[in-house]
Amino acid sequence: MIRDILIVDDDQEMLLSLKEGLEKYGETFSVLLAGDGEDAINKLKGNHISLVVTDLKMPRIDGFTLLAHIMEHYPDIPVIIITAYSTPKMKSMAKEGGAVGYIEKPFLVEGLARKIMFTLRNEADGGILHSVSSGMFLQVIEMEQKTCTIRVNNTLLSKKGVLFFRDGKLLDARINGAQGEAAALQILSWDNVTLSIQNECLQQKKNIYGDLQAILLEAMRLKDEDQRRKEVRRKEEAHKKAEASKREETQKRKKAASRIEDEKKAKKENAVQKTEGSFFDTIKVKLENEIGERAGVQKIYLDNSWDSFISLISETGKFFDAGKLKTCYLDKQEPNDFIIIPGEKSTIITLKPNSPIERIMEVLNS
Amino acid sequence: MKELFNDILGIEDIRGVMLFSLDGEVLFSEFVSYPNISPEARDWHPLVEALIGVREGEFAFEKYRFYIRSTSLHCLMVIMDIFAPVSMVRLNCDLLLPSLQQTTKSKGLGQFFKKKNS
Repeated sequence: MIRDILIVDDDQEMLLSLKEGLEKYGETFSVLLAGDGEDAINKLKGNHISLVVTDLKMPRIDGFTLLAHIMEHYPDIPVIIITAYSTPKMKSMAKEGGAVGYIEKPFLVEGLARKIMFTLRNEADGGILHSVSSGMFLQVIEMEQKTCTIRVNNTLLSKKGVLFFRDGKLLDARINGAQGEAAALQILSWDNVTLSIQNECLQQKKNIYGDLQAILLEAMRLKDEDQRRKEVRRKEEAHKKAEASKREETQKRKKAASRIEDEKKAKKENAVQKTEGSFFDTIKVKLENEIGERAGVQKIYLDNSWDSFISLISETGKFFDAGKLKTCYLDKQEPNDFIIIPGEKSTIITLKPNSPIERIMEVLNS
Repeated sequence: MKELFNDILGIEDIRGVMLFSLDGEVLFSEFVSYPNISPEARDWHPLVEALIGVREGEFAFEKYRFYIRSTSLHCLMVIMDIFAPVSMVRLNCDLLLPSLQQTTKSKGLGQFFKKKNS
């Protein structure tokens, strides 16, 4: 597991050269930078920092103030002091303040790296447990009345938390900037976590007063509630997805039906056009073969405006029991004469004046 | 009046002749071997109205053909068999129609036929 360490210094060059120098230890830890104490406090809130290296003399919030802040709110995070203005008094103040290391400038980067790695190793001097339920394990801690700091890593949620035990009693818990029972409830509701056990309690102050069993039960209740909420949300999402999929399916079906309908229509139109085309050609060929150019055919087209006229003539034919109407010839004293062949849509043949009507009718009716 | 249409009725395969006023009134009708036809039983006005403006027309049915001639006063319809000589019918109509026009102009065709019928 790669840990994040935070280096705090107002000297930018120093920061960059340290970052560069520590890059070769990237398999063990990665480096975050802060320009002063205030910047460091902000970075502590938003990141899972495992160790802080800080200069002492900095503007706004200096190294001692930062150290005190860390001891107060992040007692599990070890602090290494680096300083160019070392005095025995300062060294003693740093140790009393809780710093785990004190390095005077100038120093070798390798020396700092060794110190960092040694300190980080201490985090798990009591061992590491993978894929455990924190609740079960903590009951054992309570029974055994252990004193320890347990770092809990939830890889599934990318969250880290810390629990502090003294003589089997839960003193405090922390997740980023949050402490106390709220943090403990969250940590204890996690499953399948990795626990790093450090055999000392890094928190002095008691922030949790409830019984561990009660906190565990409450954590389980919150976990169940959360799971129920997640289940409801999952069902809602599944329902929404199903609805959306149903809608999409309906749309697809509609589109497919519409496409099939369009294709059918196009085929039908095509067929009608082909039929019309071939029917017109048949008439033309027939007349040309039988009569030749003399037929005087000008145009052949479909026109349903003759329907009522054709219907009237057909009715008259019925009165005389004449059978089905086959063709009509009309001279309407217009430049062209017309021959009408009844059908779903009437076929109209326009003829030049003086066309051999009798012969044309004979050919068409044959 | 039958004499007036005798020439047409005498053509081979002619089945009948009907003469209408432009109001659809049957002015004359005569049928040759055509059973059960009573032209008065039918309203001919829609047909005649539809034929206004048609100088000449021919309607070929499965069993018969109708030849139509219209003037500014009348509409003549000749009912014939499929193979009747239409050219003969047309020729006879060409001869008959001017005299029909004349008769109507002088006496009124309805009156002329009434006289003959009475």
